[in-house]
Amino acid sequence: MRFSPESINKVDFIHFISGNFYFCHRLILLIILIISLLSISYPQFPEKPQDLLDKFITWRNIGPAVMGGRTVDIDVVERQPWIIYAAVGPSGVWKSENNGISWYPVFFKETTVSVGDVTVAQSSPNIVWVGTGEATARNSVTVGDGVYKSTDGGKTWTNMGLKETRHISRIVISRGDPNVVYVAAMGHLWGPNSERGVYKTIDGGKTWTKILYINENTGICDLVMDPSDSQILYAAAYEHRRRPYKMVSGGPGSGIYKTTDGGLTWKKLTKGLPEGVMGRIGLAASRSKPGVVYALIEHQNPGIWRSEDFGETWKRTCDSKTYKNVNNRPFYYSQIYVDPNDDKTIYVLSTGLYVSNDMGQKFRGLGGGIHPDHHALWIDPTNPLHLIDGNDGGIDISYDGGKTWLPVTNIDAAEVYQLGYDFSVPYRVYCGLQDNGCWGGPSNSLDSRGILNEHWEFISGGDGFFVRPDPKNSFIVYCNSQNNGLTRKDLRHGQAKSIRPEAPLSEPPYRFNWNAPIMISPHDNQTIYCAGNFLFQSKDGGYSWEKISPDLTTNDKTKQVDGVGPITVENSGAEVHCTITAISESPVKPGILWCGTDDGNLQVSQDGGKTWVNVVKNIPGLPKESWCSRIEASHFEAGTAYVAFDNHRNDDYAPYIYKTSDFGKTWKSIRANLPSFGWIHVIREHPVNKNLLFVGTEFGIYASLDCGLSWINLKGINLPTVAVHDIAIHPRDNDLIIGTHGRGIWILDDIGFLTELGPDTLDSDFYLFKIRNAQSFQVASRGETFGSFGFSGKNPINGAGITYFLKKDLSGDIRIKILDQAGETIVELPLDKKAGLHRTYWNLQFVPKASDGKKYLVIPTMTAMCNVIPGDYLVSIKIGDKEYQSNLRVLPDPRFELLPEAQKKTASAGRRFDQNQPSLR
Amino acid sequence: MIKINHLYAKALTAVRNISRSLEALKPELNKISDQKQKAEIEIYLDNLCKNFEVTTEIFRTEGTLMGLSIPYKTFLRGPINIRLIALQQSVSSFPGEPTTSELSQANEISEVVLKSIDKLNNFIQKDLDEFNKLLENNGISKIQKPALVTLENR
Repeated sequence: MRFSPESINKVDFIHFISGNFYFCHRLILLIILIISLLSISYPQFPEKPQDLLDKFITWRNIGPAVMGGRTVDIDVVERQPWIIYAAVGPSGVWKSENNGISWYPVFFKETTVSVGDVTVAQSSPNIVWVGTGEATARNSVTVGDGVYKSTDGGKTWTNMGLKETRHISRIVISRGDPNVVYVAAMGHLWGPNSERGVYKTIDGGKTWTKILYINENTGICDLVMDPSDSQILYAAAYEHRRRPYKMVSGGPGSGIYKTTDGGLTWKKLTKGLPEGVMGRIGLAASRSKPGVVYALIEHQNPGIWRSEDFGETWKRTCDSKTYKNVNNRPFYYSQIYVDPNDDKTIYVLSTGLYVSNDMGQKFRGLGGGIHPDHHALWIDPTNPLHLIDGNDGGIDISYDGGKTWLPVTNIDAAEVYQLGYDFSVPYRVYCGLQDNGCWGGPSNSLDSRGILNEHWEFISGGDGFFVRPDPKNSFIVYCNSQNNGLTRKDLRHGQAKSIRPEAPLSEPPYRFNWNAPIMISPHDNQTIYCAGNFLFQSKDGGYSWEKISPDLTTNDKTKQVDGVGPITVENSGAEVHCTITAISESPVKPGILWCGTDDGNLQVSQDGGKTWVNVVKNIPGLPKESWCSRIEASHFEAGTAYVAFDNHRNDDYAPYIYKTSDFGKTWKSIRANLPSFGWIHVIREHPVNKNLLFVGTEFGIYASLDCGLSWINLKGINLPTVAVHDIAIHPRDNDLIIGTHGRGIWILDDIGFLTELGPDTLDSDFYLFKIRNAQSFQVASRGETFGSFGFSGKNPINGAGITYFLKKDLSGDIRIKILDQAGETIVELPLDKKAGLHRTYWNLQFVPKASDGKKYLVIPTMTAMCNVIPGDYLVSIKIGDKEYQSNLRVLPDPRFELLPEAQKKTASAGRRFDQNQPSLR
Repeated sequence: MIKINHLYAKALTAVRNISRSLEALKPELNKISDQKQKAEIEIYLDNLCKNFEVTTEIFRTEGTLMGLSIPYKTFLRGPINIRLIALQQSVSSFPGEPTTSELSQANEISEVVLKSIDKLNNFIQKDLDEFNKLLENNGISKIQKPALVTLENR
């Protein structure tokens, strides 16, 4: 007999049980299993809060995955082309073993996970190498810590050194011997260093030899091996440097080098190549015609050159105009590939994806309809119509040579810059993403399928940054794209109004940072702030603006220059400098305003912007010109604020974080035991517990329970290594929400335990934490279920979370009792008796009793158990002669308009089944 | 805004046509046998072109892909043609009152565009006329004068 719990009502179900005695026996075992599943617990006794939290904290990922993440390299096991590895820039390496239908992360727990290259040893495909530190040289790339090797297809990894190379563009494995590996290292992006060039190992990575080095400003941006002779390699040297206000792409160090003896000797190739300064160069060698090599060269007269004699001589095949069309931002792209079966067909990747069948004379676009900004392409050597493309929007697969594409939308690798939330029930979360606009989605979809791509709503385009819903009208959202492309969007109809402040033509234009801050005043939802080089205030929701500060930056003209040069001059806005990057208003007292800048100023006004004081000079130990990444005005004292600085753009990866209690006159560092490797993006103070702080660093999230005297890593059980760019604490629900730059949004539900956790708590034998109000949500499946191709984020566990701490293991039959207002125990749940922190969930249901006081035997699922009515309950746990109690309020599902009287009738009916069905006793 | 956009588009066309005509003229000057006379006209043409470039600067700022090739200062404020289009779109596509910022921008941009159109019309009426006379006196075909940029002559 087939039984579907969803298909029958409660009364039918009880009939069903009564008529199937033997079936009920089997159900008992199932009940025990399900009851045990209702208790979500984390064992082990803690020595320190860190150990305790490591075993307790479990994050849930809610996506979004619609857009994937910036994919910069792809490699495939050629003999098994359904096995694909993809380097999804800031999130690590993902693997598919089914032609891209499903993916799972294989490189995500290591010290750093930003990846520039992933390479499979085709002669021994379980050997996989990863070069960390993305090589796209964009303003938001993060650093790596050398090369990693796996010998088991990505299950485990070992760091094989070259840590200071920081950015790796290519790894080339000798075809005949997988122990011979070449690494092209870009070196530090933000400063000079000598650990860059080409490295070689002949013992599988145990030892390395630097076989090509140009100078401390020049790295290797491309490296290819001749397909017919593994002793011949071509290397593209790239002189480059990022400054906070400028990207230098090109210089005397750039050029093409060749070795014919496996790197013992190199010569610079010049014959037929352009003279003068070169920039970034892409290289490709033909597999079908040995000796054919292409070079895509950034130059004053740029183009594509082809050699047919192993690089000895070159001829231009592509004119300057065509080059500029197909490689419009050389520092970011400069990727060229040659068809493995046709030496005249080449692909060039940039904003568009282009193919030429005549060696580069003419190109046509291929990537219609897919996300632009292409970085990686894999061409199937046995079927050149099969292409896998990596771009800023993830991965796309084609089986018809690029005519049509299948987008991969189940990799949760969104690169969040900023977070927002509203006060809907359940609340929605918003985020701005690298090159993927602003999005909003539910913290809880109330859909049993989870939080799916279809639950996410596109808010605005461009690179997305700040998204701030109006706290009183959730359908109004303020959001901006790069350089403060500020709009006010009404989600009811999707129309947006541009509200960016513009300088009068009689004044110099305003300078807005790439990631320009906006803020809604904590005192008035119509008062909006945004900042460029000035702070602007609007009191009418952005319809008019008042400049309420002078220029708060250094206004250093030498840093207000073209963003990229000297060869290809470019202004995308990423390098606009001398701007305000952080703003905060005191929640305690209106008009206390803080502004931090990218050029090292920290300004405070105590009179709504009339006067300002630059207090940065009062901060001890802060390097000059440090970029202010975040200011958090305290929720408790008007003069207290926290400020974080990010100096990695000056090649300094240390955290800088300070607290003032006197409006910036004095500061103390609260860096304490934070790791020295990992700059800080964000600091937040808990709105209820002033000693509880959170920081997001380039490699994770930390909490302090003692106001910055010490820090605890909040990675917990399942948070991958990832940059945490923004943190929010939902003030109503007390959830901790983090925006990661590479793995989307994660939520730690109900952090009440963190607000109460302290020495006293840990000294107790048993501690029952305050229980958050529980919303009685009704969950349903709201659509067709998908196979493995869809992404499904996790909803919170439905019900009330009862969190407790045990100092030592307990024994005996100890139960968590839930009592109603009449003092009657309506549910008993098992208590986890192992020492440690635990959370047991009650699903807000109870098993009705028969009139003889005994409970019915039912499956504790929603269909079989009865929902409790909203109201107040008591949680009671008796251990020995001590009884621990906490109140619990159950709130109604706001989507149902049941009157309290009707709710009571429903609950009462649930309890009275036996009166109508005497045979059930 | 729509009127200003219309005028801007007309001015842009006129400027492009004049630029092409002036460029096409340069080889024609080789027909002048008197080298002294030729040099004088070349100098005149050179100055005229410089004057034309300055006069019509705002009709030359074209937005390219992502504004990447726009100089830093132009990028900060935004090329005027892009601003004009964005402003019209922002005002007309949202069923609500324009923002204070939009209104002040509209006034400012209108003023700038109208001033530049006056200068362009002056160039067409006066400078081009004078230059055409000079060309005529030297046996060179006149360059075609575009119509004045106004709302009337559609």
